Amino acid sequence: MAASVKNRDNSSVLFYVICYAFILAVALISFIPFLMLISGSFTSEHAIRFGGYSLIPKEWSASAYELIFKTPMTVVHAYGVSILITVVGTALGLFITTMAAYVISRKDFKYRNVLSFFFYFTTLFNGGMLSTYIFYIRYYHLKDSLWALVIPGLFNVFYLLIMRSFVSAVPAALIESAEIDGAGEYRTFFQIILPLLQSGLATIGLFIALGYWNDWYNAMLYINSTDKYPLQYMLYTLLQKTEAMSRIASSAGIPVMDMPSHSLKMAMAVVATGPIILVYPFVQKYFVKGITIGSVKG
Amino acid sequence: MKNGMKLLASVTALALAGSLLTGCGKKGAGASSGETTNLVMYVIGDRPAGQDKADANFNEILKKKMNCTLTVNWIPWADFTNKYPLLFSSGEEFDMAYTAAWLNFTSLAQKGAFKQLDTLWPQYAPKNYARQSDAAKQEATVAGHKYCVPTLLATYTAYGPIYRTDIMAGTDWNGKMNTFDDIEKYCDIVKKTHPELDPIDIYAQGSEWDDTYMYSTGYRSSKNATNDFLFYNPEEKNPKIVTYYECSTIPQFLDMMARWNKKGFFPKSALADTDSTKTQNGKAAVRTHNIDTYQGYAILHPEWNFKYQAMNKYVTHLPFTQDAMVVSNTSKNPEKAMQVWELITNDREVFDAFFYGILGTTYSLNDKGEYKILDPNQYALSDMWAARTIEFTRNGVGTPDDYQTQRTGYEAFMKSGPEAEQAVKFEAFAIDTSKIETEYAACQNVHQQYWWPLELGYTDAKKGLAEYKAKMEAAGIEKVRAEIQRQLDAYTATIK
Repeated sequence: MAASVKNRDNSSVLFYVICYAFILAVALISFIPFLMLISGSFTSEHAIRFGGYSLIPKEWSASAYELIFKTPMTVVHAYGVSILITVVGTALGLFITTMAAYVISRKDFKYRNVLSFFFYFTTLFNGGMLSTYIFYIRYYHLKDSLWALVIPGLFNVFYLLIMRSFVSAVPAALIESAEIDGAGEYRTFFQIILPLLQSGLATIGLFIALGYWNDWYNAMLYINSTDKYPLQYMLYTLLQKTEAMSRIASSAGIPVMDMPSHSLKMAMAVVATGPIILVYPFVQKYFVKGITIGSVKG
Repeated sequence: MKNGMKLLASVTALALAGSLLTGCGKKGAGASSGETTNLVMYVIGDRPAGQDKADANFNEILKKKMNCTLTVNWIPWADFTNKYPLLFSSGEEFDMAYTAAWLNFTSLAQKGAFKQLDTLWPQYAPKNYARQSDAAKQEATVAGHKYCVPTLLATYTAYGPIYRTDIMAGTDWNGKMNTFDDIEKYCDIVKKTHPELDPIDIYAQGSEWDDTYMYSTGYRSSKNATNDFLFYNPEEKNPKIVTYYECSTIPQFLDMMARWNKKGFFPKSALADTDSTKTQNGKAAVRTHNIDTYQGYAILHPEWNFKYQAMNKYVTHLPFTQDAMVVSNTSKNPEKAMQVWELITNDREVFDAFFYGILGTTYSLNDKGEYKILDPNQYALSDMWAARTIEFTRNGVGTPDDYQTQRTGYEAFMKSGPEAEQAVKFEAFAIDTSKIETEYAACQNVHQQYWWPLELGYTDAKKGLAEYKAKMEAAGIEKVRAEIQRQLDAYTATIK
């Protein structure tokens, strides 16, 4: 009896040690670059050029942050745009997705299979960047409009299917009884179904919100005015500018003088991503709950 | 299910019909009778924060003179490779755009992205048309039609070392920088006295010392840019296209570069370094580039006493299509666009407002007529570099005196004798790679992969050169050479 207990202790201890070591390694690999980002933003430009990046600033200097906050309007504007499109887009997208999911999940809906197939079909093929671009520019006339940042991300078939499984978890008997009691379709949806979908709304809402917050691609395609740039796109242009200019510098006769310094790039990255990093721990539990909740028993 | 499919079909048909209607109701949002037309222009660059002021000021002047306004849209550096071609392939409506060789002017022209300017240009921009040199007009021609308005500002093929002289104080440097031996002596001294600097600025986009060397022996690049792999000598009666491995002087060049590598003139990982600003930030001492970069460095750091020496045997003009303006095929007002361009390139007040901004707010002028941007965080020059002309362009405050004297020197040199004039005759030769696109791209890739390290002495000179030759032949260099030779022969016949 004593011998088997000792064996189990040894092998499980070894198991735990290996697991923790592995997780520690992965955590370090994820964390160290971020630490270098923060330290780089507080290092002087000269130290970076001659000494490279390091974990602890070689020469402390907050001049990059001073420069950013001297003209804070670009960053403030970009934050404003990002928050606006995230809030509006999430609200609208959630509403549309949930309604569509409810409709498709109702077994007494005659055309439910046809519509489902229609939605599913669009995930197989895509017109490509150019046809999407032509649609938005020429037919919807959304060039340089904030709607061009909101509309593309409103409806995602994958989220629709997840939502459908949430809605299916609501017993059909509830809907029938609501009908018997005289509720119309809208009343049933808003007052009976929606309150029961809290975790589903939270999960899909978070996915959609994250999609909007991180999106820079739509801004690159459709936005011209600098005061409509969302946060991620502003950061992207700043970081890519030096790459692009140095690439063409030898063939074009263009003076390539005003490059953003290394520490400025780091500081911009911290300012742009810092606040959202702080939000993550609070919403993390919803993510975990949402992903595993699909297995609710009916 | 059958009912379902019928319903689906009718819904789809309705949707298609409905989309037809979205076209109506949005037209007529622009020109009604007698109203100001608004033209749209696209340029490449990051829009300065305070550009609204300059735009408003310019539009005031433009409205007074021509009853129209101009909206300038800026495509950021980060996305121009994606967004610029999209402008033309999506059929977006706009009037003018900046173009250059590095924006694929020729291939876009062949695809029908631009309006033909054969009649529009002399009719609506006659003064501009008259001032263009024959070479410029020929460079603007693709497949027999003119598709762009080149810049009226001459730029030169001059390439050579831009070097700091402040670090030479107190050493026994003789001040000469005319040959590659002089450069080597300079770098030796830098290595000894300033070990924290890289003597030579080399970074991930490759070294341009090979092109500088070829130019110094009299060869011209076939594509009129650095990083080329086919050259020809204008001194020959019927110039032949040659590659690096056929030039008899290249082995001694490679030996020299291997020697420079061993001496540590550039770091071992130079080709992995993405920092293109080493010289202007004080990390490197000498860099080879054109005279405008020299001007830029000298303005940024007058205390470092930069100097410049062009090493070409024959300096000629760079193609004038290096900066050019195109009218889009989707433009509704091409005549107005040409008239606006004529105004910008001929009227001093309009040009200053367009290119520099508001005197006293965005820029100031000193008594030499040199400009200074008053707040570089808010304002900058226009990125429509094609608008510059020789008469109107201003130098920045701090431009070294020898910048202008060297440029006038180049103009004089181009008229100085039969060989120089012969070289000038080849200015307008531009290659058309549409028939050999795949092979040309493959050769360019091989060049980057095998020649760049070889040129910097990272691989053995003899073996590397043989390997480079073998890989180029495998990539199709002979087919490329034959096609370009054919074009060169046709061109040579026209200038005899």
